[in-house]
Amino acid sequence: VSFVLSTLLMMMLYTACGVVAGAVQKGVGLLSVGHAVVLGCGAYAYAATAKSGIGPLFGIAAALLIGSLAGTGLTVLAARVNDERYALTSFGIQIVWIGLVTNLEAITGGVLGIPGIPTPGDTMALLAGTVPLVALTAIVHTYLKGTAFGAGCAVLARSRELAATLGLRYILILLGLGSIYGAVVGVGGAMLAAHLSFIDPTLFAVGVSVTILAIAFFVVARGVLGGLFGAAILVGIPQAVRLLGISTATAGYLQLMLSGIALAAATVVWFRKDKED
Amino acid sequence: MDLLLLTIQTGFAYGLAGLAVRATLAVSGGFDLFVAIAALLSAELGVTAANAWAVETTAGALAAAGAGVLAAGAAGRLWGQAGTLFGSKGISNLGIFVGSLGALMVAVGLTGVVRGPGLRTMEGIAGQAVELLATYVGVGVLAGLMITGIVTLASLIWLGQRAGYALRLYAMNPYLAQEIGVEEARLHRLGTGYAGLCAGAAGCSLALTGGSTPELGMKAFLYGAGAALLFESREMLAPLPAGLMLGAMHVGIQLVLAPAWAESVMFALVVAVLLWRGTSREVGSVR
Repeated sequence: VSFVLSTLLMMMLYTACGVVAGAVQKGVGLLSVGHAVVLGCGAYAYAATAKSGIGPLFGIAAALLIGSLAGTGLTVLAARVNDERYALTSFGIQIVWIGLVTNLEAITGGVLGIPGIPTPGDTMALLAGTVPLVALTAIVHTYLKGTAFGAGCAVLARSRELAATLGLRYILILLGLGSIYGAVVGVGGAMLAAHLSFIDPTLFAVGVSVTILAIAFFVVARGVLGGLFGAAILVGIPQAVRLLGISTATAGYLQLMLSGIALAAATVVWFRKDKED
Repeated sequence: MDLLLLTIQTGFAYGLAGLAVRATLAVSGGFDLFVAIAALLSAELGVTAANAWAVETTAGALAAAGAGVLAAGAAGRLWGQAGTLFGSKGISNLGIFVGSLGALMVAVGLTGVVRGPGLRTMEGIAGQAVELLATYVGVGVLAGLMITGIVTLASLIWLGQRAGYALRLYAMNPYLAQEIGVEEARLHRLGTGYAGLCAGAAGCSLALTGGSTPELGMKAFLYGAGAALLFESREMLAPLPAGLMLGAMHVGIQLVLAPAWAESVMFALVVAVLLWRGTSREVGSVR
């Protein structure tokens, strides 16, 4: 029962991250390979705050704030670079971040990570907490359709120059969307840290970003339900194979392979030039 | 002496990775992470061959690395063939990045599943040194310098030949190249094969000195992207001096700061280059 609840919790966390990442992807056309940076910022902020004795709830607030800042920082880069340059830059930031977290031992515990992180509740309580998180991301996803904000995002996704010509303050759009995205993923990171009661840099490697990115493609295709389905395949299956005695590291690599296949398939479906035109 | 050779070897490795990124940028238009796949494939095959043959000498390490590089070149040729088959020309630049990222993740995942996580080194040459000009040089550094030197020299010669000129011209102005009869599909296969060889040499060279991990390819690609974009030039060979500069900086940072910090600082520099170049400037300079 504990294993099933844990797997469900992981699926819901990845769904929440995937849905909000999908909203950014669909809304302003930003395809990031740095989602794990925001997730990790939230997790480390929670761990540092909760372990200082202030309490887990303040830890979640800290994760929300730091995650929001990280998400905003990652999103506003789009004012400078876009398309594949943005994806490549976020990929570079992801690699830099892992290096920083690994080397800043005084703050992050280095490769040994942070053990003994307090939790606000058991797995069941955390799982219940993911439901409003997924619901919030579903609202964000829906809000981008048929509203003025969504229309502004659509113009920005098409062209920065067009947005500027139409008088849209696209920096504000990026700031707004980035802060919401960061807050959700940051809280997701806090819940992950609370559930595992331990974090280290390997939990926020490139593979995690790629898995969230792959789930985001499911969201773009089939909405929130698509995100749940994507999380079931990309998170549920690798978790389930551990029951066959496969190590956690090997299950992680299996997850990476599945996510890679999903991305390659998404390329064939979405990125044909004639389709974009 | 050892430090000087290590600096040159690292510089050549980054330069070759940059040439590979530049070649794929020219033929596909987008950032193709096949460069990372080729570097990983070459490094893993090189290490596997060296350990299987119980290599202990420079010549043996060179032979193992050569096998890895040739395999990466062949993989490049196949990658180009697959691109033609699946119509990669009809895929946008972002799609090329995303699709190749997916393929890279499959390659990294497969590597992790088959051989497990962590570092693998060429065990037989670890700690071995040879005497060169009245000083001792590590076998890994020497073999790495030789493999990168050979591939760099071969690159310079090839890029001065008919096919190489076609690739250089296509990198500078694809429309003009097509006007004067450069066949695009053939050049695509040729370009990816060449990129595979360059990336393979870079990957093997990094594995010879620091060992191979499933993540080696991604790092080689990022250094290559930094070298390819550092100078605002349409010239195909521009990544070579840029790579030498980055290599010298890497070794310099390792000496000043702790070695663990060097990678983070270098990648931060690459990200800064990407942001500095931006997207709009790309249109007017590097394709």
